[in-house]
This record gives sequence, structure tokens and C-alpha cells, in this order.
Amino acid sequence: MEQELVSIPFGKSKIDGLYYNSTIHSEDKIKNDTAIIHVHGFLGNFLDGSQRFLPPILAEGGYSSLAINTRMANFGLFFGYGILNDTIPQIDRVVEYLIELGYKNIILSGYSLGTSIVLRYAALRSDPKNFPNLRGVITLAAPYSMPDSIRRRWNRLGSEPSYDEVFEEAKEIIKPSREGKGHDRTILIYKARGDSYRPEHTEIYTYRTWWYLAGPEADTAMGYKQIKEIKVPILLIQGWYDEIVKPEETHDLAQVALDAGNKDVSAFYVNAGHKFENKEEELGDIIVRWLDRRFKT
Amino acid sequence: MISRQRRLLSFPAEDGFLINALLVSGEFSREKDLYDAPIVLLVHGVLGHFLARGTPRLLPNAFVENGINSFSINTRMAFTGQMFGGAIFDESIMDIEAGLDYLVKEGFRNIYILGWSLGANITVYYCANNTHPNVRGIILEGCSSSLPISNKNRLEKWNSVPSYDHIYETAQKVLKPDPVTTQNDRVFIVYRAWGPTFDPDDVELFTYRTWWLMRSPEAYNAKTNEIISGVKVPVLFIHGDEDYIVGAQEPESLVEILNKAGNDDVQLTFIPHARHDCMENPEFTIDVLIDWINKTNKQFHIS
Repeated sequence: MEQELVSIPFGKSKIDGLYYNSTIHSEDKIKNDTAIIHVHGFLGNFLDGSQRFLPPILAEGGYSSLAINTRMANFGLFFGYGILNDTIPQIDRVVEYLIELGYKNIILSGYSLGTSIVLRYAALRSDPKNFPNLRGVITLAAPYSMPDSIRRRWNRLGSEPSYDEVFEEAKEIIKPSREGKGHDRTILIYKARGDSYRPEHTEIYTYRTWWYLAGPEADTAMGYKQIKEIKVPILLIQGWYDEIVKPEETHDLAQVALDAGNKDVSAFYVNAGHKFENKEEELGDIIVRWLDRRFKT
Repeated sequence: MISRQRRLLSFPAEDGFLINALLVSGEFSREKDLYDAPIVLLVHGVLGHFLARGTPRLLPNAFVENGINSFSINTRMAFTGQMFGGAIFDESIMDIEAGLDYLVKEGFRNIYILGWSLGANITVYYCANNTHPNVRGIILEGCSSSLPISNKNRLEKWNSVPSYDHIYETAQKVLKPDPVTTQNDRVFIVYRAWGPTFDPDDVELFTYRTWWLMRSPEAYNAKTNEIISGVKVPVLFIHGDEDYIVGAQEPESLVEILNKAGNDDVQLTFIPHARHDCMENPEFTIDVLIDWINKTNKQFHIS
């Protein structure tokens, strides 16, 4: 495997990514023309979590990867620019970049928050005539609906402020220019991820980033509304002991996709928590097998 | 022939914290030349990392074009560390130590440390307390004379909410019984910390404990003016002459302290047409850096 830090030109800025070029070729020396784009979770980036541990495993299986930082990486949610829909043109550019490198089949893989991004993207780019290279979607720890998942969690933990309080304040703060810059503000939610005031149990947003990711009107982050538009093969993987996303959410997402007519929907459960710790190889094996059955050269 | 490299590496600090680093090295005819050539260990600023805009992102490429290798590390102060509790200033020197050890194990012999902004204060703290045989000198870019005083002045300038004194009072309550060893901590926002509005661009985020050890009146190791006299290696200060975050008098006062402490190998150069980030004037900055490295490194001349 060869590894390269890449900065993909994107308008006046760049999209940073870590490209893992698999050097495992088929018996007749043909390079696999399938590549996977990995999208990070909450506050994540390409140096962390599954974005970091999966690409080398997939490379051993013959699949190249590009792990990217979108606008929602790191502290995008804290300073107002981490808006889900704004990641779509970024991913368009990354797909284009991989096609320029010679890949024909592009698979999108997202982890946690990243699943909302990839499901939204694949829903918007579901027309195979216009987007023939998008060939599959992989989700790891996908919430059925990010807003519902956050609301349930905050209510269960007794967050401060509550979900409803944030909603009321957000309506006042960002209207009348919800689409514009408005008067945004950074906010803290204590007891959002656990029952203490400690930093690891705290979430940080701006009203605007919260609105488009967690607010009750954030349709773009409702996985169940997006997944039914997706026609390409879908693989959903979920930790059985995940305390952030409940295992049944994966079942329900798969059901929505099947009910919508997608004939190639698979769901796997791994004996792991939200981060798939200590199950990295197993996760990689599931994905490689799934890819082999569909895309092996 | 040793070809050009741009490698992502990971290694642990003494306490297990995982450091990600980017090694950028040039083309050399022999392995010995690669390891004899100067290498600059780069330490990022507030919320920074090795791909952050400005110096962290631009300097490695500019260096390698001029025959200088670089090694940019993401310390525990990188990314969201100060917002979620991991960015303890006093512990960050373990990351520098680990970076230096890694370079020495690789075979590099002539090492410089360049700290930008917060990274400069970390670099001083490290060098005031450690003498590493392979460190030939340090470069301090946009170096504040004291992180606590700098924070206090800035928060007062913009009339922050809460005020610096109020944060200090609250921190004392939250961090009981002892701020250094306590398990109690909490995230807080300072509105109007960087400008006159309540907009996200003007806020600052810490936990009380990360603030206490980096910005509070009791953040002794972040008071660079009180510890820099312990630095005995050559020092180059570079400072944007339009820097509005750190005033020109701050590096000037640090030069004076070093000189009084007997360190005469100190140079301060103001970079014209640059603000806090000297790479706003890359040609001038690179020329200054190369001249100074040549001056301090007798074994290897960069042309």
C-alpha cells in the first residue's frame, strides 16, 4: 500500500485527504478500479477512528481508499461553517478526483455523523445516468434520523439546555435568514453524551449548524428520508453494544431501503460499541467480502 | 539516491498520547547527506495542526524546496484538545520530546524547533527545562511574552463575556480541590474573545482545566517571559511587522531577557507585510530562516 497526503483543489480552497493506494493487484496484474471514499464522524478527521484503521485493511483486500476532511471535520460545527448540504459539492469534487485517477467504481463510506453525509449525497446523486460512477454506499453506526437520535439522547440524559429549549432559541436567533449568515452563536450542551458536566459529555454547535444537523426540520440529516432514494447497493454495519446509535436503527434503515425497492441492501451487526474498538479487522473483512462480491475485478 | 519523502507517521508520547506527524524531506545523493541536513520540528498554534493554514501548511513545502527537511507534529494541543480537556500545556512538552526522540532514532542529527504562536510558547517551555544534544537552535514565530497576560489583555480589549476575572473565579470553584489533579472539569465559551461580536468567529472555547494551565494567572509555564532565561541554545524570533495579535514589544522584551541571562546568540527579525503569520511574506521569511540556519549550522551549508 502506498499512502499519500493529498490536497484536492476546490474553488478557492482545498479538500485535504489521505489517499491509500492499494498495490494488491489481481492475478492477471490488473489494478482494482474500485475506490472507497471515507467520511469522518462528529468532530472527526482522516487521522481518527475508522477513517484511519479501515483503509489499510481494505488496501490489503485490493481496494484503494481516500479518507477526506469535509467542512464538518474538526470544529466545523463550532464555528458555523459545518453545514451538511455544503459538503455535497466537496464530495462531488472528490469523486471527480478519483475518476481522474482512473477509478470507475466509487463507493461512499461514512461513520456516524458521516453516514448522514453519505446517505444525503447518494440520495441526491441517485440517477445512474448522470452519476454512473457512484456504485455503492457503506454506513457504519448510522442513526435512523440524526435529529431524532440527538433529541432522544438529550431528553434521556436531561441535557442542559434541553432539545426543545435549543430549538426555541435557534428559531429566534437564526430567523429570518435561515439560509443566510444571520446572527449565529456558538452554544454548549451539557449532559448531551453522558450524565455529567464533564467535557466528554458535552456537545458544541452553533445554532445554525445545530439547525441543519439536529433540528427537527433537518430533513437532510434524517437517514430514513435519504436512504429510500438510494438505488445502488447499500451495506449497513452496526455495533451491537453501541450506546450512541441503537442497533434497531440499522434494522429500520434497511427496512426502509428494501421497502423503497432497493434489492441490494445488507445489514451486519458486530459485537462492538460505537467506535468498533477491537473489531477493526472483522469490520474490514465484512466490507472486503461485500465489495468482492460486487466489484472484484 | 534518496528520493523526496512526504510521510505521515504516528508514534506515542511518554504517557501514551498518540502523535501524528508529517515528515517532509528532500532529495539527497547519499543517506548521510539526508541525516546531516537540518531538519525543523514544527509546532502548530492554537487549535492548529500540520495542515492548518499559514505557516504549518506552507512552510514544509517552502523548506524542502530549499534543502531543509521538516517534521510537523500534532501535539495534544492540536484540533479540539483545549475544548475537550486533553490540551494540557504542561504536558505538551512530552510531545516535543517524543518528536525529537523519533528524529534521532531515524538518524537526524541537526534539529531545530520552530514554534508558531502557541507553539512558540511550548517550545520555550521545553527548551527552558531540557537540553537536547541534537537541538541546534529554536525559531519562535509570533511569540507572545506571556499567554496569560496576552489572554487577559485581549479579553479586556473586547469586553469579553465572561470577563477574564470572572473565568478565573469560576475556574477556582469548578477545579476543586486542586486544579492540577482534579477530575472535575467543564467546557466553557468566551464570547467576544477575538472581536466585538457574539458571532462564532469571535468566540474562544476551553475547558477550565486547559485554560487554567495555559491562560490563567497561575499558568506559570505559559509565562514565557518568566522562564525564557533558561533557554541556552541560539534563538531566532521572526515577527510580522503588522502582527495585531502579538505586539512588537513582546519579542523585543524576550530578546532583552535572554541577553541579560547571558544568551547572546539571539536574533529578532521583523517580517515586512506580514501579520501574525510570517508566511504571508514567504520569500522574505524563507531567506531569513535559511540565513540563520546557515549561521548556526556550521556542518551543513544550504545554498
